[in-house]
Amino acid sequence: MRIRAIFEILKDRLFSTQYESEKSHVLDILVDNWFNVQYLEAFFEQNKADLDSLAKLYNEEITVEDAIELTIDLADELFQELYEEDGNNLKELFHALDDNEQRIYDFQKAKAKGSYKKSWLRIYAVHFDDAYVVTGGTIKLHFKMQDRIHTNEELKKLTSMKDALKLNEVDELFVYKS
Amino acid sequence: MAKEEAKKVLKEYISKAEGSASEWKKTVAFRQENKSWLKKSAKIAIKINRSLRAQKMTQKDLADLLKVSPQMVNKILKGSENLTLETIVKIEDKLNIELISILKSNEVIVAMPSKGFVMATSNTISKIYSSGSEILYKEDVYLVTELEEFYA
Repeated sequence: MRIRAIFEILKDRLFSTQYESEKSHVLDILVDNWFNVQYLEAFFEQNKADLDSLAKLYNEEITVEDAIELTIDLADELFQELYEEDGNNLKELFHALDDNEQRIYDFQKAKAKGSYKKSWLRIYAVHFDDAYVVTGGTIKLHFKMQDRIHTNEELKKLTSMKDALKLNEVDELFVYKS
Repeated sequence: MAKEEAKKVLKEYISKAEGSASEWKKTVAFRQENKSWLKKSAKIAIKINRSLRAQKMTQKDLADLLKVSPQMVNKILKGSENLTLETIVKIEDKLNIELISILKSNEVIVAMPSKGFVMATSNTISKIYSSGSEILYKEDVYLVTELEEFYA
């Protein structure tokens, strides 16, 4: 998947990527998907085993119906946080992708999941200077990103963006194979 | 230096962006203003989507049954449509499910872990409670006790 364009969402601070196969940029797509009951029903049905494992971990029963409602509530909260503060809270909203990284540095892979501790929503971005370039997002129901196709894709997008920003070669290199 | 290079890359990609950057903001603002009915619309959509799956029906099947366009059904299934009572009742009839119900003044909804919700009158609840039925979990007993006090 190749980067087609980047949209400036908040001046000099928040950017959102558009890939060649997509009609809109990533934030638009995430908003569409995370508020779309039909999409969510298909997603949780497809990832039912992960949902059940997570429920077991939390010692709770989480049905597909519960999961859809919770996702919509989490998305409402997460996007509201992104929207209301007009970018002043980006540093609080985004954290290092690797939970073990305490230090913030340029071209760091970052994630935002909202203030609810158990949130399974993830918005991914590459951070440099005061800017966050959003590369994607997903619903993460398992521990390691490498373990599932949809989260592994997000990891590849992050790496592609990081490489793109560092190498300054716009036309050829910033492709990841999905 | 690397940051300056990155800014150049960004600038290059930004120049390729076409269309609005803020559609997502409009959606978020709309949802904030219309949260109450959107929540109910989503709950209805969940039930319809689950029913279609259970009955192995497609979006097109439902469109045919309702005699509306697949695009209209798509909006309903997404859970962001402000449905009329007429449409809701039509869907209930065609799918043989209940999407909304209005409680009578002597009816309450009691949560049953693992089994969704049951609707019951205060008398029924008293009977279930006094019979020591196995369907009641500890949490329900507290709830039922409170209800009995309420109806005393």
